[in-house]
Order: sequence, then C-alpha cells, then structure tokens
Amino acid sequence: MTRPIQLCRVTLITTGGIHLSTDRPFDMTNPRGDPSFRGVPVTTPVKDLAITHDYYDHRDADLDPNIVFPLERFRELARAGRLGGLTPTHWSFMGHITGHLVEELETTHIPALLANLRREQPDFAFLTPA
Amino acid sequence: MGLIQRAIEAAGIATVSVSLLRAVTEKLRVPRAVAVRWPFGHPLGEPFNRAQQLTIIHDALGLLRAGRAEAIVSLPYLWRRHQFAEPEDWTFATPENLRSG
Repeated sequence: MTRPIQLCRVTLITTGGIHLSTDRPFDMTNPRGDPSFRGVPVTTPVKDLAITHDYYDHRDADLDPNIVFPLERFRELARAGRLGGLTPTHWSFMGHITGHLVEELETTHIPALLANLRREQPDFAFLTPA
Repeated sequence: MGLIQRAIEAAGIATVSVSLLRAVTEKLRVPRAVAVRWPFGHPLGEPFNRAQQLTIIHDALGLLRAGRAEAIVSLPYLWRRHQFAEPEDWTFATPENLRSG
C-alpha cells in the first residue's frame, strides 16, 4: 500500500461471531452456520459487545473482545495519530459456514458487505479469525 | 474468512489478516496475512495484554505497507513465552521495519 498508514482509514472485519449485545445473535441452530453479518458502530464500548459462536472457546474473548476484534486498540492508534481513522461501522461474521450457505455468503452477504464498504470508504481492511 | 478477504481485495480495498492456521491460509491464497501459532479464539493474543495486541497489529500494518501480494509472514512470538513491549515506531517509513519475514 503506497498511502502512509497515518493517513489511512481502517475497517475491522472478524469471523468471531461478535455483535452488539442488543443485536440479533447469530443462528446457532443451523449446523451449517449463519452466513449473515452484523455491523458494530465505531464508538461502541467493548462492554456492549457479545459473542455468539459455539465453535470456539471464547471465554477469553468474552473478557476482552479486543483479542478477536481490536476496536479499542485501533481507536487508540487513531487518537495517537498513528492511523488516519476508522470507518463509522465495523463488521462481524460467524465463521463456521458450510454447504449451500457458502453460496449464500458469496451471492448475498459478501456483496452487501462490499456495498457498505463502498459507502464507508476504508483504505484497508484488517481481518481476524477466531 | 479467505473468501471475504479475497472479495474485499478484488473490490480494490487493501487487506491484511491474522492467521491462526498457516497451512489453511496458504491454500486459501489470501492477499496478505501474518500468522501466529496460538490457540483458536486468540488471534491478537491474551486478554488485556495491550502490548501483545498492538504488536500483532503493528506487524500486520507493516506487511500491508510493504505491499507484497500473497504474502504470509509467520511471526516469531511463542504463546505465553514472549515478553511483549509496545511497538514505538508506527511510521512504517521503510518496509524493512517488518520484524520478521
């Protein structure tokens, strides 16, 4: 990337099943997963985040969501002038998706994510698995 | 996650990811990743360890700035064996700032 990081705007994307505790949880009843995603506003206090994901041990991430979704760390970097900024929204999937739901992810949800990114115009995306 | 990363990169937005399984990440041919051999659920390390979390972010941004495509960089940090210090230089003036390669 040619643009200096200090001028760049990041968007965070995780497959760790993070969402606002007030938002609709991911569907854990479908064994093939849930290909949809949730948005998390940039100003969200991490105590307002929840994790719905039965396929990894998220007890540590429940204590500190930054180990999966480092929203606070990136906000600090932006405040310190080490990063240009953050997009208004950050994004979370539930990364256990199989069968025909992979197709639904590709044909429906990824295009919806890209439409959001075109609107919010990040310079780069930082992606974390779980 | 490889699908999502590749789609974003294809849409013209640079991407970098953290990998917990280098062998899988290699097969998925993601644009850029830093790989750690840490437990699932801990891509940035241990809870409340700011220096550790910032180190992984720092190294990922360094790789992004270096700009190589289809690069996976294995980071050298051993789980619970490495003493992390908060990275100081965030200018990434030279791609060689990368701590490992």
